Amino acid sequence: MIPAAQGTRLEALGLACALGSELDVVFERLVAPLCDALTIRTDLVSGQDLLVGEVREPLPVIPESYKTLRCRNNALAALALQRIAEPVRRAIELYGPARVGVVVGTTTSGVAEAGDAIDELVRVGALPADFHYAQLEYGGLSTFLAGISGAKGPTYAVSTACSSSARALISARSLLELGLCDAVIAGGVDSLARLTTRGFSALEAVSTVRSQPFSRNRRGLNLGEAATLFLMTRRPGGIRLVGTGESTDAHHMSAPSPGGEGAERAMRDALEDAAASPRDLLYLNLHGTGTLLNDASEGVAVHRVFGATTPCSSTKPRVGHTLGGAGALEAGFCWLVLANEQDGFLRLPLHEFDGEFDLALPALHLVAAGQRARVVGRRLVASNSLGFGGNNCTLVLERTGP
Amino acid sequence: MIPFSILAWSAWSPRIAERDTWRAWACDPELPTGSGTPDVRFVPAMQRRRLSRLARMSMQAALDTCEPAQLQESGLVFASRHGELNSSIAMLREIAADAPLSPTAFSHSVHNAPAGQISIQVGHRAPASSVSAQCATFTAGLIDALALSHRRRGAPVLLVAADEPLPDEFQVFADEPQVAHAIALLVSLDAGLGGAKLRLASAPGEPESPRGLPEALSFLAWWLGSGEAWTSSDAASRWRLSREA
Repeated sequence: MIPAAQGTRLEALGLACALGSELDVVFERLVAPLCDALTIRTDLVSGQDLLVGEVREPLPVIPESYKTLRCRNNALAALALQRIAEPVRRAIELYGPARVGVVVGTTTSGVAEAGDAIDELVRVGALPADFHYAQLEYGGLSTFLAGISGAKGPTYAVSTACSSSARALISARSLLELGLCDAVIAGGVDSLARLTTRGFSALEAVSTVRSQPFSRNRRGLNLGEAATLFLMTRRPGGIRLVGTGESTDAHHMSAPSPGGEGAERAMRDALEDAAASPRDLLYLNLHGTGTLLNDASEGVAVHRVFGATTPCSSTKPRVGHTLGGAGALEAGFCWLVLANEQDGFLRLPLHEFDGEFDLALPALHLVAAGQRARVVGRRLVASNSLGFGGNNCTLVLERTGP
Repeated sequence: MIPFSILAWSAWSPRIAERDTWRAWACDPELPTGSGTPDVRFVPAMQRRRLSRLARMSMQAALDTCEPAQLQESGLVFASRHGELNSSIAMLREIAADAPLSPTAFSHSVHNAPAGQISIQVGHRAPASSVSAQCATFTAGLIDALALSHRRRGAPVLLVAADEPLPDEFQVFADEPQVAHAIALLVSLDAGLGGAKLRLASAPGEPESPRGLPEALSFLAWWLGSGEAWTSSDAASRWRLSREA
């Protein structure tokens, strides 16, 4: 029998999303009553102006020695890695390269560049000289991050659609607990691309206006891009990943089960893993894509576990749905909520919508502007990620210490 | 060093599908090339026609290894370097022609589509992961499967490693032998469940096992043969498997 888990430390966080890449700025924009970070892109779906969550700052240039891995997805990853470069360097020095793993979620990898390459192939009959398949393959992301960081432990990409990077954190925690690693660079990256945008458009899931999760006026989701990387270790203290829950719907490839049973099991298992009860949780970051299918399924599941008591919000109206990058990004938001405790209160990310809650759904406690949670007992927050293939994950984070 | 067990296995390629034939193949392992597709007759015709070749290969290997009732209770890890790349390229060609995408084609092109389809087919509600790691995808899948077995207190996890050859457009990038193959291993960290005992250990600097096969088939040839140890394909992150004496 293997002993129960003790949790792992989320030691350092680097991220880049539509709200920026400076953690303080990102957090203030997350809790602000108003924030307009989404931008219009006209090139993703022909004939449509789409509101998307785009990273707008300059990205690092990928060195010549990694030119076969040059793509926007990897440049976003490089930006997030820059933010944790020093703790990563120290971990590799302390534990040795073979003891530091890389586990990252992605669904797009470099499919934006691959789309351009196929355009050229169709037009002129040959792939462009600067295209390489390594830009497109999922494992290109993990290989790239291992290469530029110097980590030589287990190196792989997780790709379970919109739960990819939540699942990467779950796997990373297990690698630490199993003793296969002493530190893991874990998270996820997805970048805007025509394929994903047109795919979700074909599913009639994309809104041309800002998404409104749990509003009766919802029109669908906005796409986004983000890179989020944590350095995870077994060291005590700090902000920790203390509970994980995972389940599969066995229902449909692109639609969640309407009863939300899978999401409910993920939430309950994560709470049990954290040795917590629903009322111990101070905040829940919803998957909250803004589609009717998600709202209906996640809404009933959240209500069954938490009733209308636990404050919850979707941060996707602020940053877009960053697909395989969303789980780690929203874990990053939870990390920021815990890191920014003030006078015994947690400032919570606003659930931004038009206020017209869909009364066909069971009641939820959606976070209002300026809302805070008083810290009594454990400082526990959680995040849901629900993906195609009926792949559900819940992560519970805790800030330990006084 | 991580001790673990293999409780059951099977493999499929266009040329070989039976365990005894694989055992004979392992004496002199050649690339089992061909163009067939498993018939997956256990899947009702309505669902079967929606399954890609990769999904059929994965499902065949999975259900040749586990009864549906056992699979329902097992963790599932799908490991594939390329995933549904043929489908992605077909969609990128549609986009190049500014044609609309099929919503079903899109939702069935995600990397974890075969895992999702296995889950739907057998009513599998336990955790399912899906991983990729270039030429060392099999090893990544094994590591992720052991990680999942750890989370499930040592309970069995079915690893399905499956890939097709690169599509014609990308053959120029091939850096390993190309052949359709799917292998399934039921693995566990719980020594009490029986099975064949192996050990996984980090092996920085050790040479790669002789190849001529993609990593999953290279493992299979070693596992069915008599060699003492096998090493993984990623030069930067090398792993060794050995049999417990």
